Amino acid sequence: MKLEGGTRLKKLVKIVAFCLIVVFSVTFLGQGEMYFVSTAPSLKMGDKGQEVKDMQQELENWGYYNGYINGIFDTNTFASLIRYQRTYGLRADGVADENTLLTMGLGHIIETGTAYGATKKNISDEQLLARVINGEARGEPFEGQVAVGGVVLNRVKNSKFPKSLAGVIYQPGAFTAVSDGQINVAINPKSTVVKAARDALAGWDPTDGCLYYWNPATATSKWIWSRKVHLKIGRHWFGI
Amino acid sequence: MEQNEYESMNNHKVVRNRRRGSWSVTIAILAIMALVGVGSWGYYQNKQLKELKIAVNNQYNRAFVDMSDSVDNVEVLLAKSLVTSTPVSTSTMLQDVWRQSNLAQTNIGQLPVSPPVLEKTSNFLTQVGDMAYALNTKTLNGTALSDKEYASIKKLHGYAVSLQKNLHGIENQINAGKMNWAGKTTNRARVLTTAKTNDPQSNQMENIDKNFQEYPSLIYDGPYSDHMLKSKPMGLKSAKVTVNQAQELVKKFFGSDRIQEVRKLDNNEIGSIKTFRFKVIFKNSTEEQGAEIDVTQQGGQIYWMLRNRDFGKDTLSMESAKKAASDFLAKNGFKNMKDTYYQKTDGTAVICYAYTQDNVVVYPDLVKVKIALDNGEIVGIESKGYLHNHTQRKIPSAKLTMEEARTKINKKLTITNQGRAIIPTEFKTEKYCYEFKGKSDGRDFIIYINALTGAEENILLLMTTENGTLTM
Repeated sequence: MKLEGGTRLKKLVKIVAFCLIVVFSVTFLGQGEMYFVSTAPSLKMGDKGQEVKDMQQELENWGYYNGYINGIFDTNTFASLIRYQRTYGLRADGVADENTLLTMGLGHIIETGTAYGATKKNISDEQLLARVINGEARGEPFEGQVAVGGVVLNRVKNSKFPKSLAGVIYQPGAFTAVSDGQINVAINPKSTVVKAARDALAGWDPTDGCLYYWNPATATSKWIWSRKVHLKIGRHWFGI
Repeated sequence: MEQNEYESMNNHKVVRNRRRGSWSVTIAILAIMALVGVGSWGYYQNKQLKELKIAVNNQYNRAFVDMSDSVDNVEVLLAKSLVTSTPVSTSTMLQDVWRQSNLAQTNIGQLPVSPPVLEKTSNFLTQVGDMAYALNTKTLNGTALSDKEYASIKKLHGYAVSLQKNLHGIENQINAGKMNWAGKTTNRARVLTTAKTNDPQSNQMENIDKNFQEYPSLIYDGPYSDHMLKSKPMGLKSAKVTVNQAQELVKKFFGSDRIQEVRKLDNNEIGSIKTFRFKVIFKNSTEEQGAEIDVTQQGGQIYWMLRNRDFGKDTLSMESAKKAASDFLAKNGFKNMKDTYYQKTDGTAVICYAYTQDNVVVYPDLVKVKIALDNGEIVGIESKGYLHNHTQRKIPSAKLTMEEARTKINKKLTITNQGRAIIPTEFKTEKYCYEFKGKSDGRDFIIYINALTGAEENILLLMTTENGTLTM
């Protein structure tokens, strides 16, 4: 009997310990941080492209270069890069390696590698909008996805909403996919939602100026039912 | 007796054992209750923390993207102010530079980044703002900028370009889901919130005015798109059509041999142009790859159409794509349309067409055609601009000649092309202008000089890439 009580206590201790571990691990879950892997490209003579253009701009800003900012790594660029490297005590070999790029503040070339090499501003807008569409209307028909993008853009133009794309999208409580963090999921640049975002930005608006949409099956806000229904696409109702 | 004694002893032992047993059960129950309590408390705390983190992170992202957008605008505006022709139009640009750099400053202040990191950025934005303000007071009185002042604008523009690059790099990381403001800098964020004494209302005040975000967009769209939604559409034909007639039009539009089914959707009965809506499903294709098309109830014209399908390898050149799109427009009742700008992405091209009358390009009458580059199929059309604005224009006689207008343009600009155009304004009116395309410092610009007053009406910066041309 005594022995039995002892094992029961031991069991209890074990269960307690196990539970504590579970509780702690749950509490500390998701505290990990992400680091990006450096692909460390370097720029050398003969290279072409946006990265070279960026470097020429930096060299010009710092007074080492006064040729054309044309994205071509020619002898003129080479010479001014060597002058720059000498001044800053870097290895003066005319190759812009990781160290050189970092001192120029061109870390983004290293960090993002070539995958995002030549990005333009509109690609950023497109990605942001695509991530909202992804979170809000993943399973919807294509025109329903364009329509969600259209609603976001209609809000940007409307005086009742913030005046910038980011302002509208990140407005607290405006989109569920933003509040629950789904918007932070990275998406494939080739996916349908990106196409939908692009068409919405190019001016296609299936909703014809709507400012709201909701799913009648899951909408929790009573207020939304006071909106006038303009049209229905897939599972979403759109209204002004 | 002995037996009895033994039994009672035994009983005693059992009772003691039982008592001990009941104690350990009580302890176990208490411990489990405590554990469940602590566990669920921990769970809800954790859940709350996560929600809070997402909310905080979202606000940081918002501040960051807004700041980045403002810096983009500062860059474009500085580039434009370098090629303005009159002190007045320089002044307009500089006012915007001042406003945009202030906005960027406001948003920087909301980021959870300790001061040294963004010190230089902050300093730069302040300087740009100050310079723009100072020069603006000068140009406002009609004094042109000196060469030295132009040089300093150029210098600041160079910095703006490189700052913009760095910000885009961070933006890419946000897009790739690699950036987490809240997780990294919780402590600093706390310091920041306590240190922040900004009156939120004064920040909002800054937002009130014409703080309109300028998207890079195909020409005469975006900034002007409000203009397209005039209350009374002018481009509609007079005849009303019935649903059946509209359905026939849809079949004719796509070619009935390609169509498997035309499904009627709810009408669009709100808005200034009412439409019949149809979903079209094609033969040998799925429902997902169908098209939606809206036909106007008055006039029976195509309001918009969009189809998404998988696109194969490009086989069409831009030239033949433009030809196919032009033929398509002519066949569907859009006459005298001239292609202006295009954008190519992922197997399709969006081409903008504007109406021309007596060699004058009428930009408000805009139709966009999306064409598949694998087989030349028209996969999208958007004609809201045309249907709202199109009418036969009375073109006034110009008060100054093309040559006179040309002499008014900033000498820094090498003019490569010239023409006549009607452009929309932000005030829902139209202006008759001479249109000059030119280069300066490797950038392409379009300048509009009013043909009646000689005033510089607008400057557009062209962003030319291998995939097409955008205006800013």
